[in-house]
Amino acid sequence: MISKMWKWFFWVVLPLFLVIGAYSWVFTQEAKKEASQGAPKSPEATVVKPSVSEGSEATKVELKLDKEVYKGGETIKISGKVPTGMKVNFIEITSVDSKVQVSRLDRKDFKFYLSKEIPAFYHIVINEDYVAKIDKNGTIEEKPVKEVYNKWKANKKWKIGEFMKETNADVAFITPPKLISEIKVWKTSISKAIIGSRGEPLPSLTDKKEIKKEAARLIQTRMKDLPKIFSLGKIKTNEDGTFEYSFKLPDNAPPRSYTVIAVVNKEVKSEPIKLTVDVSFPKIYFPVAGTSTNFLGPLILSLAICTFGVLMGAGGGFILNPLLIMIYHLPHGVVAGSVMPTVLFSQATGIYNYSKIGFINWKLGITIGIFMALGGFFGPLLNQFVTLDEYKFVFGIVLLGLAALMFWQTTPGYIEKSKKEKAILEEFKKRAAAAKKAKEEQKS
Amino acid sequence: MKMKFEFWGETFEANMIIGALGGFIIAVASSLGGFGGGPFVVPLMTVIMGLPIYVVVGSSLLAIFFNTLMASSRYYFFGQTDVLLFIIMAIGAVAAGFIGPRIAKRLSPIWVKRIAAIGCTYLALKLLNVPFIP
Repeated sequence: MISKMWKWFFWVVLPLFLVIGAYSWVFTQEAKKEASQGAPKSPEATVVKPSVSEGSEATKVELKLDKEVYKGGETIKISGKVPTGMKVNFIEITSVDSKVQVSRLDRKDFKFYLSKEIPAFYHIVINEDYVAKIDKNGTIEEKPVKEVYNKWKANKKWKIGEFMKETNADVAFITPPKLISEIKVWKTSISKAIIGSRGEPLPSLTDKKEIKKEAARLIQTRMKDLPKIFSLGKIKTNEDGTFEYSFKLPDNAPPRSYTVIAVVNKEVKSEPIKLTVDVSFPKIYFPVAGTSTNFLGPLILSLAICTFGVLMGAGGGFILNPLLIMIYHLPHGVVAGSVMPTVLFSQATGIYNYSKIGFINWKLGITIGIFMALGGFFGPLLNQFVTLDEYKFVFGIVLLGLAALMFWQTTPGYIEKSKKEKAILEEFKKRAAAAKKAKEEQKS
Repeated sequence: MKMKFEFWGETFEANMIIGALGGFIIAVASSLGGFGGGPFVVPLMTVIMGLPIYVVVGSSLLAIFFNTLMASSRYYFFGQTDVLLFIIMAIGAVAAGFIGPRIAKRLSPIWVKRIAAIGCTYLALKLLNVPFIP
């Protein structure tokens, strides 16, 4: 009995500790390097108030909300007053407390950007009657935003920077550059990726202009669809300057503080006004995924899919992951990172049970296991480098392979063969159990 | 490169180049996607490496465990593991481990696999953005 425990320790626990230890050493080394290279943070820079037209009453925008605390799915009634003759053209709504980590690989220059301070919810409402003015080498071109919006909405490869320029929405992109103190940058290369690294760390982005540009791209990476970040709305501005707009919060809105800013143009805008979103049980907020939802949904989904997984003889992850992405729109990195560890328990108990009856060949398992651990070292890195569409593509191909395997296992030839093999397997299991019993009796 | 090993008094020989390469590729795909590699590793070891099933069942589980543990810790250090989501998924998975085998006795495994094959194909076509799929 004791010798078995030792065997366990030497062949499983010890190598794993070594592998994980080596990995965390590499990781801390990299972190140290980053810390020494990264520019010093300046927290003061993050709380700069918007410059509202130096106190002159004539160009002040007043802003009011109907409540202070909202729930996901509720409507925020925004009202206020702008100076006569002006119109509210944009309304920016940002969650300032709930932030998520977003990373992106730029395929043009192979730079990898990462920020942990991306707002979990971000939205700009654009007045649908607004006519955007674009400065093209001195001549100002006018274009209705509706036209621009529909053009980019139909384009799957839309670019947030160009969209904001063409609609003038960049004047309303105010809060994210203030929330984000730094964006980390790596220069990725194949040789660095092979040793499992994100690349050569470059100085972090701390310049506000650069942060603004990259923050927009990271927000696009996270939210993906244009209508999720921008919407056209009827912001009614009356003749006396009062305006009102109703904004419906999405059901999965993250909790805690938000700010709302009404924007007329680059110079004229309101002070940020605060509101709170309350998420109460059974709805819970998933902090890394950045979504709140009723916890029963994922629980029932996991139970149903994993039960089916047990029946078909494959883990639940194959079906669970695409469904989590399709139903809850979770980022693919978070889905993979959260579902993968769930099988650890069942695998560990399986290994323990098989080892008790001497049904594991350690030499074979560990040799292949080392190469599989190597693969498991690269996979998560690749996961960060691929886009959602590429992830879906790889997953689709894998699922087709799985379907082919499943189908093959129902062909008469396979069934015949597996019957014989199962009989042998049962015979061996019996022998193993008997041998173990005999050994124990001998000892006692 | 052949590796010799003994299992219950029998000696086997396995081509480790195929085993290592295949295991590596499966591990990359499975950790990229976030699923277990079991359904692929077992055919790799039986069909391609030519080992009998009774050698493979336990040993493949051990090999996959290496992959899962490494990938999970990698994801955790990258800050991509939502612990709350993990707990909920784990409760579902562990409960399924108790419920599954009880239901399995009453169902024909062949029909389950056929339905699973159809389901997987449908999901794959959806993920691959094939047109005219509802």
